[in-house]
Amino acid sequence: MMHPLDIVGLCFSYAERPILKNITAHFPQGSFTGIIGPNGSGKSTLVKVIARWLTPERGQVWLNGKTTAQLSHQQMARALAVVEQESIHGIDLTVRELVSLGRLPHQSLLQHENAEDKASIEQALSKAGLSDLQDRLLSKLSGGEKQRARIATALAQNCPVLILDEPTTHLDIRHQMELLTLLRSLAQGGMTIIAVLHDINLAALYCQRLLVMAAGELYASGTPAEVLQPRLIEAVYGCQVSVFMHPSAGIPQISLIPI
Amino acid sequence: MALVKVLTSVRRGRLTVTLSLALAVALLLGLAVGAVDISPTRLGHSLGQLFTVPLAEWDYETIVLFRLRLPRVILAAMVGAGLATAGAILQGLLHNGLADAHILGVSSGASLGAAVAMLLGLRFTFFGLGAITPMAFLGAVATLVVVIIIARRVAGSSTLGLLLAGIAMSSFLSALVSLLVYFSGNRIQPLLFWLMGSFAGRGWQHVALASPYLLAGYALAFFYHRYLTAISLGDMTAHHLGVNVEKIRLVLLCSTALLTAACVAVSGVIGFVGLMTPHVARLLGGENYRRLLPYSALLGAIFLTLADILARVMLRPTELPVGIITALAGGPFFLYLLARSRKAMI
Repeated sequence: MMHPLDIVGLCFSYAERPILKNITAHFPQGSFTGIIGPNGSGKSTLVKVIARWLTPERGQVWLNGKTTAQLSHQQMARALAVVEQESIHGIDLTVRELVSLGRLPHQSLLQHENAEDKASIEQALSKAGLSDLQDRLLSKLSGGEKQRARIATALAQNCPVLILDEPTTHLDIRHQMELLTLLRSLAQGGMTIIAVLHDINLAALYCQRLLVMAAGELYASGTPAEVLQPRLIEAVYGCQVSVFMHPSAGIPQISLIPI
Repeated sequence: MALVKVLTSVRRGRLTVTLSLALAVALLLGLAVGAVDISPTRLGHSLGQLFTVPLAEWDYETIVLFRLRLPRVILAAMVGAGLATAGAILQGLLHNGLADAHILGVSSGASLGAAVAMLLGLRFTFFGLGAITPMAFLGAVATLVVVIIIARRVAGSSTLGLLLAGIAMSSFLSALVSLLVYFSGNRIQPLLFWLMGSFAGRGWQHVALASPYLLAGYALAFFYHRYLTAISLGDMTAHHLGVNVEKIRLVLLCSTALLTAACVAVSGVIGFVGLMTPHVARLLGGENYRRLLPYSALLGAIFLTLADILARVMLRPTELPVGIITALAGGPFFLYLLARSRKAMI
């Protein structure tokens, strides 16, 4: 079965230390998958290997049935958009200037922004709720707006798959919620969304499926109800939790049991 | 500061026009001013003669203008634009606002070439140029090849590695130049002048030597400006946007090396233009390379044309090396800008 994104037997080590051990997962169209796991479990490395920033030792990443080893840089960026963990630094652009860079994979060296590019940029800005802020400089945006600008850039790429590495980490709870709502609506629109998340409860609330990584392995995967088990969480994170039902959403949530 | 405020308030579309006009004024001033000043009416008359009257019937002033001043003024503007563009590219490519055209050691390589030519008393000529300019160019190109080999090996993984390699290369070659200076006694006076940068006695043959490389370097940079903007956001960000970072970095390194090699070969080592101008251009037009490249080039051209005028008139009838002027005038001005706009620049 072919999906927008399939990863098969991915292995990666750094300085002879294995970071990813034989990871296989499939991501159906329109799914919203959360990747959770403790620090150092290999989540960010997995994102970097999928994005071909790092080359896997073994295994393949398949984008819509084509292995990424055969794709050019541009072809890759037309199939897969990535929002990295680190915030954008270096130079200051306006929101629109940043988002228009999302069209790079569709443009040739000498090509100017054409009508299709403009339409994609407008659409991306509006989906991310940034149409009114498009001429503002990134340095003048709030943390939540900055994150949305980066997502808009990824949306302008018009990719079927979007991967985000800890997109909510520096945001307050309202902005975390806004961002995840946006991602969920994108998934409902047919995009395949994968997000590395630290907050297990938020991940359970918004994602249809959770992948749990531990020490470079895919320890478990399943619906939030299948994954949020006290034993599983304890085995992966090494801390005791109790699980209860979210009062209105009917989705399991965890609560720490202090030592 | 008032000037920046006025210029920033000018809409962006008009800024190009404003800068172009400023450059035209600077060029005309450069033509009028020198060991002998030419009044505006005489200047107009001579410029008219250039296009309407056959060469044999030119006035003395027209000949001075065409043979001496025009190539010199054009060369100063070209070199200013080239150094500023190279600085702007490198600052983005290396993610470092302190980078400039000299950082990869290309200038030191050119200096070594020039020093060798002078000290060995090389006398060959090359398309009407003395030995020094072609030797400097050769030195620059040789350095470029070495730096690019290093870049291919090191910079694939880190820009800091490339930066350090460039700095190491630069100080190694500078040390070789110093060694030559140390053992050369009084034959070194012209080399010291060369190292301080000057447009004295430069003619059309220098313009002809530098033009193709400057044009090629600038064209490369301009074709790739969107990729350069993406790389300035971070190598990984650019990678995710479909940019082949290693390849583009190599292309742009070639571009800066062409620009720097051509500039240094015809004018010696002129500091500060490449470092400072892109920062001023950023204040005026933002950080998108679509505007940053042309603004840097225009500002660099204006700045170096004016600096060369100062170099010619301050100690008339002798001249100062223009590199001294750029640092003397540029240093305090840059500090002033820095103090006024801490937030915008860092």
